[in-house]
Amino acid sequence: MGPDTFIDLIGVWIAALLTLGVYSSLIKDTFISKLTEAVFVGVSFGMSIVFTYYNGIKPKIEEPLVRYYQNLHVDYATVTNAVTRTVEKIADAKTLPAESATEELADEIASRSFDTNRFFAVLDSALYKQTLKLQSTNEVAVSLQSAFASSEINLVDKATVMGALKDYFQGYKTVPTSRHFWVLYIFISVLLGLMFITRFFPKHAWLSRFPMAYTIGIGVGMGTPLSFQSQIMQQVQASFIPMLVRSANGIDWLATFGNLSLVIGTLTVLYYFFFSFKKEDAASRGATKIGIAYLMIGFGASFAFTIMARVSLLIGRINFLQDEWIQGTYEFFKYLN
Amino acid sequence: MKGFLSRFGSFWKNRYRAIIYIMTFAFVWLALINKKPLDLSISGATQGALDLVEKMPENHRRKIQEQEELLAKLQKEESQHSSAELTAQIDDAKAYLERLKINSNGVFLVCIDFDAGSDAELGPMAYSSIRHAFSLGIKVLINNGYTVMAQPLSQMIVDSAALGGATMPRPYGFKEAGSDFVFFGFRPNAFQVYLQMGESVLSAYETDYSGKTLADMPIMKGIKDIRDIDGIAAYSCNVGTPESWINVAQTKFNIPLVVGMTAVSVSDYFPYLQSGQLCGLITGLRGAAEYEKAVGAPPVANRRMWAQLYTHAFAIGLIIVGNIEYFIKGKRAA
Repeated sequence: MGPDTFIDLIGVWIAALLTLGVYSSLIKDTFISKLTEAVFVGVSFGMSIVFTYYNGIKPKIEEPLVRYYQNLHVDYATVTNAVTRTVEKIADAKTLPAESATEELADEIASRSFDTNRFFAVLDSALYKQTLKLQSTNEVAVSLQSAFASSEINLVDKATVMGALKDYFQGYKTVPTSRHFWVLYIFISVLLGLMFITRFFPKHAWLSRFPMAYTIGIGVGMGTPLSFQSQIMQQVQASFIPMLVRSANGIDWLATFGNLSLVIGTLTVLYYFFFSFKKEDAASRGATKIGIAYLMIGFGASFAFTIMARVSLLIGRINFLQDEWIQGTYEFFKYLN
Repeated sequence: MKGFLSRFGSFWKNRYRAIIYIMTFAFVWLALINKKPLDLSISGATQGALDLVEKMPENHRRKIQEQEELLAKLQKEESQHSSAELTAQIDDAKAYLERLKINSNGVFLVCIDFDAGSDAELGPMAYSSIRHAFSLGIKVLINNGYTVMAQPLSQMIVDSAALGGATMPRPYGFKEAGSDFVFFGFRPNAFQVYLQMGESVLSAYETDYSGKTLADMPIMKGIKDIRDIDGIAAYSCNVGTPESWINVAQTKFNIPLVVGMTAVSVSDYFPYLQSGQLCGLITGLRGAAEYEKAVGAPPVANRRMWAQLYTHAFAIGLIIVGNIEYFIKGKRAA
């Protein structure tokens, strides 16, 4: 697990010194502990922005918009020629069905008649990909080959195939009409996103309420039915359990005790949080005390788990210092010598 | 003696924090020197998580068989009275069956949603479960949740499980990205992404973390939507990810789900285990150590359990000393 290269070694040393810098705050707040905190926040925030750009904005907005613009201005004849050449090649090579298909499947496909609608659908799926660069003949060919390889269409009769392709070109546009609406939708989304930034300008801050309302509305709308089902209905259903559990050998006392404890716990804790009237009689006070006892046991378990989690973090860091920093550095220089 | 006790008392009063810190560090350090694995029994919650992966190939084959039976039934119905709706159903069933046959041992989705801060607890469990799936020939999909910084860490865990190394030997051959596993990477708004996976995995993730197109990868030929996934494991340091998976995968699509949490948040998830909404629950470092032991993975978490043992004994000792002091002081005050 130690460093393999000199760059790794430098990384391990930086990580070790930063770890010690964080722990130095146990003695007292120093310049080093403050610096470490600032480095941590800065690096985390900086990397978050980069990851969000590369995983969200770039593939979902930037690249499709660039492709849209390029495909809008591509030479129509170049695209149709490239498509014709590729389909011709596929029909000539009879590479269909997919290489992985069995002989039985190949025979079955050969016995089918040519399905024009399916042929058009395959062409659509290959040529209307959001990320496809129509200017690149190679990309068009790869997309078509991949789409036809899994299409299971009988392309043996080349004349029929080429005739159907001519018909397809009658209605073919390099950019379908639906894509224009999609671009509009992207612009609206980006605009809503940008409206959040108006919070920095008090005069126009009211504009940020629109995206906020939209986001909350979508979140609540999508989440509420599912949360209600999973966190209320199924949980309530799970609390309807038999008070007496029977097994093959008679009564299962352990399971019975567990179920009874669950029912009593659920009812008494709910009763404890019921503040609509005063709990003055002996029965009410008793139930409340049992409820409190259940709560204390629950909090105790949570607290114990918290200690376990915090100690685990310390163990992880000391494990790193021992294995990767001290032992890793020793082994790195030992290997060099 | 009295003088010594009073001097010790004032010394303790002034420096007790530093002493406790130093002793805790010392206990952990000493415990980590011990390379012998701790003998642990496997709890029911961890066993459930193990069973999900262990039984996945068998359950996947049963799924194929059921789908074949359904297809035969539909075809028989079609031969008696044909309809457009029935033909569409048959086409759907055929396509689903073909997809199931491509990844014949099942598909396991591992959601890694933690950063370096929780790596000590969750890293070993994510590594062990990916390794467990690989050893059974299961195809593995890896994605992230709400934590942006989970991506670089996941990449390291996945590489380590797929390629191994001198300190992490594998009981299987090299696993190839795109054929045996795929790492989708981070996408903003995890809940919406998970919902979108219900309709089409390829529309939720067009490319993997490195920008390679997913549609061209052999593993993705057998995966269209979330129905093609046989089980999900969510390893998370925040409560949002498991709750999103419970809502989407378990409640909406009825996909078996396992959750692995840091010990600090795990007590919130026992009700879901008790209600059967979760198949298994891996609880912090202890759960990770149990999982490691059960699958024979290198004892990373297990070695750390000695340190847990020593520090817990130390904490219990401090509680007892504190209580004794409280009672003695109480008596004096009385």
